[in-house]
Order: sequence, then structure tokens, then C-alpha cells
Amino acid sequence: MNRKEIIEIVNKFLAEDIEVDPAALKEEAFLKEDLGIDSLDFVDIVVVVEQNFEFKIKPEEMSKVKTLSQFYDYIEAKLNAS
Amino acid sequence: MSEKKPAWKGTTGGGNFGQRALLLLFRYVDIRVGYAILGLVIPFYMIFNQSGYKAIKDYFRRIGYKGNVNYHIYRNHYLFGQMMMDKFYLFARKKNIFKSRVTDWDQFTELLKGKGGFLISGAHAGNFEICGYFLQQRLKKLNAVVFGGESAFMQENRASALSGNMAELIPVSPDMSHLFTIKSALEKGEMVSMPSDRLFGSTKSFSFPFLGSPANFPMGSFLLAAQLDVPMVSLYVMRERGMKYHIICKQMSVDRSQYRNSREIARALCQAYVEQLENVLKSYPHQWFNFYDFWNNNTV
Repeated sequence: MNRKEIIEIVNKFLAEDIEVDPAALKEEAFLKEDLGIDSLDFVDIVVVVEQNFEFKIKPEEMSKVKTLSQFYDYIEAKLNAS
Repeated sequence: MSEKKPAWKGTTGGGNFGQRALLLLFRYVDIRVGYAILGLVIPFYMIFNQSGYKAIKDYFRRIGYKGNVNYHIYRNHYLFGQMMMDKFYLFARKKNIFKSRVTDWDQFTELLKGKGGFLISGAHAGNFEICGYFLQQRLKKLNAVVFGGESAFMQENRASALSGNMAELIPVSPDMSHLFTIKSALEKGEMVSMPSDRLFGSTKSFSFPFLGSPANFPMGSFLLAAQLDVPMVSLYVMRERGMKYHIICKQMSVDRSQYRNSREIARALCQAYVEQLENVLKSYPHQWFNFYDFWNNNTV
């Protein structure tokens, strides 16, 4: 799966499930401050990542992910490593 | 959907000394002696704990009580104290002396026998916490989510009293790591119980009319049930005359397929929960134990 496909899946999920404003989905956006994603939403993210990308997110790894771009990078790196 | 600061700070009343004294007392003294002392203390509590008094007075006004409601506030405070004592008596004696009757228990038994995990939501109405002692079963592990703001003494005693009952505690932590513990427990097919009426940790909430006015309810438990696609029941353990409890179990029957996403499912679950809570309070109006301005401060 390439980065473009990852972005499409993640953005679709954030807009439809977490109800984030699609206009706010910019690579430099901070997950917490700009997109309003809190720990409760992370549970949703963990579930969706497991379903779509077939790997398990470790909570301690996610604590290093601050921006949307870093989140795409994280998924890409995990997929490439598997 | 709301996202505002909670009024409840995540701590519960009662100092360490008082809790230790109560535990020691009940090792030697019959609980009825405790009830008698409680009856004498309540008027002073009503006078000196004005915030709790006002909050409960407001509650009785909302549910339609007119005129002088002091008797009802007394009864509310007395029942609260009585249930606290019941809990401490169980801690002290490690023996269940209470009788219980159940309503709609078949649904709960079915879930208990099934392989999957499920969520039990409660409220600060009745004695939700005591359900861990009544659930004498060896089929599924029960994980009780408790607020970390409680004293270590309380947490130790609760853990000790529950330990022989396939039950464990999950303290709510400020970094929200408990969410992943809950997720893991549900995925292992275990039960997770948590109160669903107070905002703490995540401030995300749903607003619903509750007893006539809008009130905020935390998204947490409902969103978890939706995200992880696990069944959810609400459980109420209500005090009755004598040494009796009435355990009411209600499954939140929501057709999840008709909703677009987990938020919408969670909202529907929350609505079902609010309606069930209202119905339980209609039968047990004196057993509402949120001693703060639930409707206004909750949405500061």
C-alpha cells in the first residue's frame, strides 16, 4: 500500500467516523490541538488501523505521533516493516 | 456533542481516617448500630454540607417534589450513608449479609455464558459498586473501572474484597491508558463495568434531556462499546427496605446497522442509557447520589 492510499483511508475515517472537518485534514495539523482528537478517539483509531492495515498499534508508540503527517509516516513505516 | 470542563474533580468524599475507623468499627459492631448513628448524624451533614444539600434539593425540584423537601433530602442522605456502610461492612466482614432480587437477569446470564466481552454501565444511583460482590460467578472476569482519585486505602480494600470473585480494578488514569486496558479486557471476552454518568478524563460528552433539562453524559463507555462492537447493559443495584437490594439489568438494544459510524451508535446507546436511568429513578427517586450541580456545573 502506498502513502496516497494510506492518506485516503485515514482521512476518510477521520472525517466520517471521528467527524473531523475535512478542511482541517492537512499534513501539518496537530492531532490533538487542531483536529480535537483525544485519547478516546485513539481507541477508534487503533481499531480502524487494526482492521484496515492489519497491525496492532502500541499506545506508547502513538504517544510520539503528534501531527497527521507523522501518523501517515508511522503507518507507512509499520507496513513497510511487516 | 459537548466538550467542556467537568465540574466533578474525580475525587470522592470521606477521609482516610474516617474510612479506617468505619472498617475497624464494623469488624466488631453490628451494621444496625451504624445505621442508628447515621440517623443522628444526617441532620448535621445537611446543615454543614450545603453544596450537597442544594444539589439534592434541586434534584427533587426537578422531579416534581414541591414544598418542603427536607424529609426527602434526609432520606436521600440516609440511604447514601446506609449504602456506604453496607459497602464497608462487606469490606470488614468479607461476607454478604444482604438479600437480593433481580429483574431482567436472563439477558445478563446469556452474555455471561457467551464467549465475547461486554460492558456494564452504571450510575451514581443506588449502590452500583456493590454489584461486584453480588456477582458471584466463575464464568467471566469482571474488570471494574474506578476513579483513581479515590484514596489508596479504599482501592486496596475494594480490590481485596473483590479478589475472590474473579474481579479486578482498572483505575482511571490521567494519561487515559486505562482505555487500552479496557479494550484489551473486552477483546479477551471479559466484563468491564464503569459508571457512565460523570465526566472525568476525556471531556467529550453527549447532551440529552434528563429529568426535564439537558445534561451531559460522558461518551467514554458508549464509544468504547460502539468502537469495539461489544454489547452493553446497564446495571442498577437499588436499596430496598430491610437488608435487601434490587438488581436491575437492562440491555441497551440498539440496531447498530442503521448508524453511519461509532459516534452515532454511541449516541444511541447513551440515549438508551439515559432513558433507562430515568425509569429507574422513577421507581427509586431517593437514590440519586450525584452531590453536585449535575445539570449546570457539568456543562461549565
